[in-house]
Amino acid sequence: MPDALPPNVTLRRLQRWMSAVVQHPRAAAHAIDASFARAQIAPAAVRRGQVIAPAHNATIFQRIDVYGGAYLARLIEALEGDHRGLGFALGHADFGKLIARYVQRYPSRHPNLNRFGKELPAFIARQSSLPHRLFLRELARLEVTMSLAFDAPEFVPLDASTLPQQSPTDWVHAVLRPNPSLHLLRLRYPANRYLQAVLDDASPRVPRAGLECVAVYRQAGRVWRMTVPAPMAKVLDRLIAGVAIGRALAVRGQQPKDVARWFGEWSGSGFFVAVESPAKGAAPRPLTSCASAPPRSRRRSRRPGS
Amino acid sequence: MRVSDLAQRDLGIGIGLRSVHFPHILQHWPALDWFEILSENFMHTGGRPLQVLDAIAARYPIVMHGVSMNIGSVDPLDFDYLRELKKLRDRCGARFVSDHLCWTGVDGVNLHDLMPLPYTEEALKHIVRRVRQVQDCLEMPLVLENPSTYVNFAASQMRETEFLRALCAQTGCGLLMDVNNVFVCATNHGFDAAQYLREVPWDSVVQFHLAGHSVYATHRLDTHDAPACREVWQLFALAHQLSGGRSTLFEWDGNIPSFAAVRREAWKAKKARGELRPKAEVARA
Repeated sequence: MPDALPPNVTLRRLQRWMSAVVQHPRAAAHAIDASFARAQIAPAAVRRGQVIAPAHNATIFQRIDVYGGAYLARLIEALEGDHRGLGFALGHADFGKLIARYVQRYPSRHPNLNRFGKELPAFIARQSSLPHRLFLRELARLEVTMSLAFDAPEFVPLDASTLPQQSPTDWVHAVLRPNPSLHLLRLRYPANRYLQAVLDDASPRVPRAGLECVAVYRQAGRVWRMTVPAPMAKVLDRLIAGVAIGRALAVRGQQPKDVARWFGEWSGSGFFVAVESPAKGAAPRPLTSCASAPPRSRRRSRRPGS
Repeated sequence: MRVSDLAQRDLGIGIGLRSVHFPHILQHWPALDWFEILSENFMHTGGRPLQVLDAIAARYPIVMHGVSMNIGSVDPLDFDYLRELKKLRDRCGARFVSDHLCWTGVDGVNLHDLMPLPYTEEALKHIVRRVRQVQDCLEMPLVLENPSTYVNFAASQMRETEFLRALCAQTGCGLLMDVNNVFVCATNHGFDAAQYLREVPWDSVVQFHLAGHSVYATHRLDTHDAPACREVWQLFALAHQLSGGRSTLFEWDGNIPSFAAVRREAWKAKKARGELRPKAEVARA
């Protein structure tokens, strides 16, 4: 048995070589010949057993492939858990192929896999040969947003009942601070409806294009999706962006009773964590809630695995 | 705090806290001595996992076990990670903080696997320096687990046990002795598992891990998806005898059965430990 590495193989070279071989899409017997791997360690040294010692019951390459196979399988499994809709739409095999390409382009750079799929929507949009890619991108956007909501920082929702009275003028200029898990999506396909069907064990078909506005948020530790009518979405979008309540509501065609109901729903769903006063440079101060209507029934869907 | 202080804290028998068991635990508060959490599952998140952890940590001792410290990598130590780790430890009052004797990535890429190290003087010196840095940051001894490995490096100059002895002697770190990993490695690399255990620096061992593994034609794979095999239980009995008793944990991470089934498997360790019931039950009797 050879008893030493080639003299120029440091710990750094060894780790960079093994990382390159494990990440390579092909098996180790081929991966050692790839340019980055061979720049670290000459393939001939590997084949001679000067890097990995031969095992009694397996070839050197069979043993290296234990790591290579596990690498991709682990990442596919992680994304499959967060993308049940996308997994259903593509089917297991094609989902695996897509993720294999994604992993090559966006290897994980974080201690955990919470945000590993963050670039998946943009990546899907660039896959010109992928059928229904615009729908799949929207579906991935929704599922990535659910992961972001699940892992958003802790917060305490605004309790409207505890706010002191303030004048209507103060309200007009006040700004609502959204909870950090709240996202409003304008989807070009009804991806939320599709996902719900998947989670209900139906077999939905790829839908036609059509606007669907969905609020994704966390409440009491769970992630919910709320389909939002377009007028409500317009106002909510502005509020989330930090526009003062008066200006946010200055959208043509709003009915006061609708606005009161919306605020009741948002309050009941914990959309906001604070109301900040308009004075520049002044410390935020709480104001009264402008609506206390009970939330209407809405479609809420539990995030898979949450 | 010294590693001998940690080693003397035999917490009894615990199991790994997994999200599929959250509802059962929160509803029944089952008898168990302690839980081990996977540190990264509770880091960089503010959602339900932390809420559940808060509730469980209020009732059971917690131990933290990580997979991404990357202690053996040539990349710089990730101090953001270490700060998060410390924050989590303080939040849940973890008794030990452990990770693996391995590297998990290089050049900023995380392979999310426990990659093997060559047991060389160069690697030893590198890891000694980093363990000291981590311990300075955490202000407590770091505990490192012997990993399952599938390759041996031709460059290795010492046995794993020699490497562990030197590492502990030079840093004062603790060891998490995974008995299943010893058996898996012994089979994969063709050494005597019992002899390995006789060479372990037992004064530094703080905790045991037990788990199941899968058998393939060319190797055994540490999958944590089954009961432990007979040989692992035999080795555990020897390890218990050699150590005089340490906190013992059963890990189950794939095809996870009911909480009761995992606990039943963990409680098999009572036989080797000479206990009729786990400490928690005795305390409540």
